[in-house]
Amino acid sequence: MSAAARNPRLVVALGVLGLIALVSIGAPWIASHDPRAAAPENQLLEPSGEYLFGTDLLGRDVFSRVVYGGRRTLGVALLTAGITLAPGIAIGLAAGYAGRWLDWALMSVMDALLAFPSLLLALALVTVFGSGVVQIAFAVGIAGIPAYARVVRAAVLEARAVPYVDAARAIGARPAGILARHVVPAIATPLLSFAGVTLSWAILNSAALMFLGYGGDVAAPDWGVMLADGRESFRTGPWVAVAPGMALSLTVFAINLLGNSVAPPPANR
Amino acid sequence: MIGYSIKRLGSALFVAWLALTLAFVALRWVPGDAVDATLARGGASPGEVAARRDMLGLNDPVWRQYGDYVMGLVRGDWGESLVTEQPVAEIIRQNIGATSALSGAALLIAVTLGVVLGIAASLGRWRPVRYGAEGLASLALSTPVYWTSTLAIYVFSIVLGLLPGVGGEGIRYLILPAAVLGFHTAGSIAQVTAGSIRDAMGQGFVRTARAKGLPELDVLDHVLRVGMLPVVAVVALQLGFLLSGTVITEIIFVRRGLGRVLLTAIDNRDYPVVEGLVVLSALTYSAINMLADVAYRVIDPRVRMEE
Amino acid sequence: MLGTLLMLFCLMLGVVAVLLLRTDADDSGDNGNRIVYGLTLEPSGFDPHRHISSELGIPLFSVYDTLVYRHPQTMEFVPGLAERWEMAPDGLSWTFYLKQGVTFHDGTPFDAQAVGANLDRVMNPGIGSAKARGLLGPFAGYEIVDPFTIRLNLSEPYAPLLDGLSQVYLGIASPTALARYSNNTYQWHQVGTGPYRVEEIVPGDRIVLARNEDYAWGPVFYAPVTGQSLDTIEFRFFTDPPTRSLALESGTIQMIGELLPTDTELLVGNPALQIFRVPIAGTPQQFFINTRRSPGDEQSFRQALLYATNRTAIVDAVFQGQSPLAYGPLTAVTPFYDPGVAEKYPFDPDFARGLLQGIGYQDTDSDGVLDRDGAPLELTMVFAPWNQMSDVAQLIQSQWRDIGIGVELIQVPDYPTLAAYAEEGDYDLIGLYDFAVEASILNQFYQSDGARNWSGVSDPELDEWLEDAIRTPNQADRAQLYAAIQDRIMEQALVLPIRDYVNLNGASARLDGVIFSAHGWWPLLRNFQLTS
Repeated sequence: MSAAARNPRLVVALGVLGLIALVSIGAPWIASHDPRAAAPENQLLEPSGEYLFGTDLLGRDVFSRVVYGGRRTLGVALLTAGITLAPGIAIGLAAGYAGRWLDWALMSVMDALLAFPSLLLALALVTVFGSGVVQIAFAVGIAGIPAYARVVRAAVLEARAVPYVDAARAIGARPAGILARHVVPAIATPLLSFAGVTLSWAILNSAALMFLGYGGDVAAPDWGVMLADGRESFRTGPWVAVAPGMALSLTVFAINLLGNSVAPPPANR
Repeated sequence: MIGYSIKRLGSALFVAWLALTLAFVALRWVPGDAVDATLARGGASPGEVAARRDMLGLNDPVWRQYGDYVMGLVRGDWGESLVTEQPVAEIIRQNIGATSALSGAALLIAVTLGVVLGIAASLGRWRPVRYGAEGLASLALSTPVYWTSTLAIYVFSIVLGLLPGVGGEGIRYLILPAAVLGFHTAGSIAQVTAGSIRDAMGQGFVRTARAKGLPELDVLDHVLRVGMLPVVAVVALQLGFLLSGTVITEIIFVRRGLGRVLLTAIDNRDYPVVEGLVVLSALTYSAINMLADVAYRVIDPRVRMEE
Repeated sequence: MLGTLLMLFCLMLGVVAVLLLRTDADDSGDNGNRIVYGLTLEPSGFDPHRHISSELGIPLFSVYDTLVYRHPQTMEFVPGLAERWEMAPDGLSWTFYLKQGVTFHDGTPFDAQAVGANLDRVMNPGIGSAKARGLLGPFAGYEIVDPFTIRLNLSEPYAPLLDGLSQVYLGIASPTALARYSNNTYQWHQVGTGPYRVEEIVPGDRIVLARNEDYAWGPVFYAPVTGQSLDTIEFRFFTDPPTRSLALESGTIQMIGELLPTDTELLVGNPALQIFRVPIAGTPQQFFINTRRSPGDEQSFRQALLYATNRTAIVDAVFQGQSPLAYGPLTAVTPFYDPGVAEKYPFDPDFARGLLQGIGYQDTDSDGVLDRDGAPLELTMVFAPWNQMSDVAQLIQSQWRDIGIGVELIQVPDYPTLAAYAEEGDYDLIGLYDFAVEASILNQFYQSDGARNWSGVSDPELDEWLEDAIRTPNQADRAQLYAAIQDRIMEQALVLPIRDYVNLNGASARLDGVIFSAHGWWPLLRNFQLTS
C-alpha cells in the first residue's frame, strides 16, 4: 500500500489502461449493439438509454463502436509503435554509442527517411498490399523511426559523455557491458517519455492517413476514423465525434502518465 | 572547421540523393501516372494517351528517367510539373513563404508553450500546477489536428466571432492555424522536457551541488543545460515536420503551402513536383540538424561530436 | 543556460517576425462590389481547351463566350458569338454566321480567323486536349467563308456538336494571346471575350476576375449591368467539406457549392444565407457492375443486386433527402431521360432473394452468407471518397448483408488508383460517374469500345443504337433511340444507380440574381447582384 502511495501516477495509469484493455477485450459482452449494423432510419439520435452515446450518420450505435474501437485503435497503435521502437532504439543506440562513420551512415539514412513523405509511403504500401490497417501501421511505423532514433541518439550522446563511461572504455570494458550497465539505464527515462509520444503519434497519424483517404476498412469501428467522420456531422450530432475523442484522449493520457510514473521523483520533494 | 563544413555539406547532398532515389522508386511503383490522372480521366483515346506519355518521357526506361532527372538537378533544373508544366522551382517559390510563416509561428508557440509546460510539470512547486501542466501536454498530444482545427474554427470564428474564418491571408488568418499547430507540437516538447529535467534532477551532482551550498539558480541552470539535449532533438524534429507536414492544417484552413502542393502532386502522380519537394525536405532537415548539432555543443561542451 | 535560452528565444522571435512580414498583406476592405467564391476541387490545370474538370468552368464560363449557348431554362440553343447557324442537309457541315463588333479583353477583334485559331489549337495533338477535342466529335476541318462566317466540316453527322460548342471547353480565346504564350503558360494569362476578364491566377491558391466594361454581346439570358453588379470575384479552394459551411457562415466567402447535406439543413434556417439546390445533368452517382467476371456475368444476379438496394434509405440518411433517387443511367434533368426506367427496380429484398435462389445461391452453412458450389458470395466494391461514396457503400454493404451477400469495401484515394483497378478488372462493383447535358455521355461508358466501359458490356445492338443516336440530328429519332438504350441498359442491369446529383450551393443572402448555366455547374456571374 505504501508503494502505491509513493507512486500514485503509476496506480492511476495502470488502472485506466487496465480498464481500457478490459473493455476492449470484453467488447462483445459490453457493447449494446452490433457496431457495424447500419440503421439509417435511426441516424443522429441523441444519447439515450438505448444508445448511450447516441447514433451516427448511418444509425450505428456510437457506444458500441467506441467499445469495439478500442481493439482496433490500440492494436494498430501497438503494432505501429513496435515497428517504430525496436529499430529506433537499435539504430539510436548504435549511432550514439559507436559514433564515427556508423553514426554518419545511420543518421543519413534516417534523414532520408524523414524527408520521405509518409503519404507516399502509405500509398506505395496500399498499392502493393491493398488497403488495410496493417499497411497503414507499417507506413506510420516506418515513418516514425527516424524521429525516435534521433531522440535515442541524443540521449545516448549525453549519457556517454560522462567521465565514468570514458574511464570504463579506457580500462577496456566491453561496449556491451558499458551499454547495459551505464548507458541504457541513463537513457531509459527520456526514451520512455518519448515512447509515449510515439504511441500517441501512431494513433493520430494513422487516423490522419485515413482522413486523407488512404484506405482501410471504412466501416470498421476505429476511434481515429470515427473522429474524422464525426467532423462531417458535428454540427448536427456532436456526440459522434466527442465520444471517440474522449476515449482517445483518455488512453493517451494514461499512456503518458505511465511514462511519467517511471521517472524518479524530483529531488526537492 | 572548413573540412567539417565540407563534410556536412557532402552529408546533406548524400541524404538528399538517398531520399530522392527512394521517392523515385516509390512513385513509379505506385500504379497510374500523371497522364492517367488528367487525360485518361477526361475520356481521351488510347492513342492520345500514349502520345502524351511519349511527349512527357514517361515511356522511357526508368533508369533513363532517373538519370535525366538527376543530371537536371545537378544543373539546377528542378523540372516542370507533368500536369501544369509550371517549373517546379517556381511552384516552390510561390508556396514556401506561406509554409515558412505558418511553421515559424507554430514553432514559436510550440517551443514557448512546450518548454514552459515541461518545466512546470517537472519542477512546479505545487501539485495542481504540475498535474495541470502534465494534463495539458497530454491533451495536446491526444487529439488529431483535424479535429481541434474544426473545433477551433467553430468556437473562435462562428460562436465567438473573435477571429476571421478560413481562407484569407495576412496575420489575422495565421493566428488560429498557428495556434492549433503550435499547441499540438507543444505536447511532445513538453513531454520530453519534463522527462529530461526530472531525470537530470535525480542525478547525483544535484545533491552534491546543493550540499555544497551552491545557489539554487546555478543548480537549475545546470539541470536545464543537461536536460535540454533531447529537447533540442525533439524541437529540431518538429521543425522538420512542420515544414513538410502541414498538409491537413493547410487543407482545413485553406492556406497556400507546400503540404497541399505535395498532396495534390501525389494524387496526380506529378513526379517532378514530388521529387523536388522531397529533395527540398531532405536539404531542410540536414540544415536543421546542423543547427541542432551546433546547439548541442553550445549547451553541453562535454558532448564530443565528430571532428 | 537561462541566458542562452533567452537569446535563442529572441532569435526565433526575430526570424518569425521577418517571415510574417513577408506574408502577403491582408486584403483590407474594398470599395466596389466584390465577392469571394469558394471552389471545391483543385483542378489539375486551368486551360479550358486542355483540362477536364467541371470546377474550372465556374470562373472561366464568364471569361469566355462560346459560339452558341444553351438557355438555362428552356435548354434550347441561343446565339452566342454566332448570330445564327445552319446545318447542311447531309449533316456533314455546319455554317456559323458570327457577330460583329466583338473584341477580346486584350483588344484583338473577334472574327472567323479567331475561331479558326481556336479550333486549330484544340485539334492540335501536341496540346493533349481530351475533353474539348472529344466534344467536337468527328470534326474534319473548317473553312473560313468570309471574315465573319466559318464552316465546320464533319466526317459523319454528329448531333451533339452544338452542345459541345456551348461548353466552356470550347470557349473562344484571343488568338493574340494564344500565339503569345506557349501551350503550357497560356492558362495563367487567359483572354476571352466574356463579361469578366482574368486579373490574376495563382495556381492552387486563387483566381481573380474583374468586370469587362466593354461587354455588349452577351446571350439573351445575360442581365444588363447595374450599380450592384459584381466588379471583382475572387475564387479560393475549399477542398475540405466541413469547412465550407463554416467559411460561408463566418462571412469569409459569399458563395460556395458542394455543401454537405447535413450542413445544408442547418444553414436553411440562417437568415443571412440562402441555399440553391441545382440538379446536374449526366449520369447519376452509380456503381458499374462488372459483367466480365462471375457472378456479375449473370443477368439475374445483377438484377437481384438492384432489387436488394433500398435507395430511399440511402438518400434520406446520407443526402438528407436532398436528391431524387436514380433509377437509370441518366439523371432526370438530362435531355432524353426516359421516365420509364423508374418503374424497373423497386426495393424488394424478398424478390432479390428469390432471384438469387433461382441461380443456385443458398446459405448451406448457416453463416448468414449465401453460397454456391461451396464458395461464399463475397463481392468487391471499389470507390473513391468523393461525394460521400464511402457512406453510400457502407449502407449498401449493410443492406446486402441482410440478404446474405457479403461485400468487401475498398476505398482508393485517387482517380489513377481507381482507373488501375478498372484496368485490372479486379472488382465486382466500381463507383464512377460523370456529368454532361448531352445524353451522348453514355457512349464512353456503354459502347463495347468505350473509353470507360467499366461494366465490360459488349452488346452489338446497344453499340448500334448509341452510334445512331449521335449521328441523327432528328430530335424525335434521338428520343426514341435513347429510350431504347436506357431500357436495354437497365434490363441488363449493367449499373446500380443511387441518386441524381444535386449540387448544394450556399450563398450570402445579399446576393441576388443567382442563376446557373444549363449544365448546372457554372454560375452566370454576369447576373449576380450584390445588395446591401
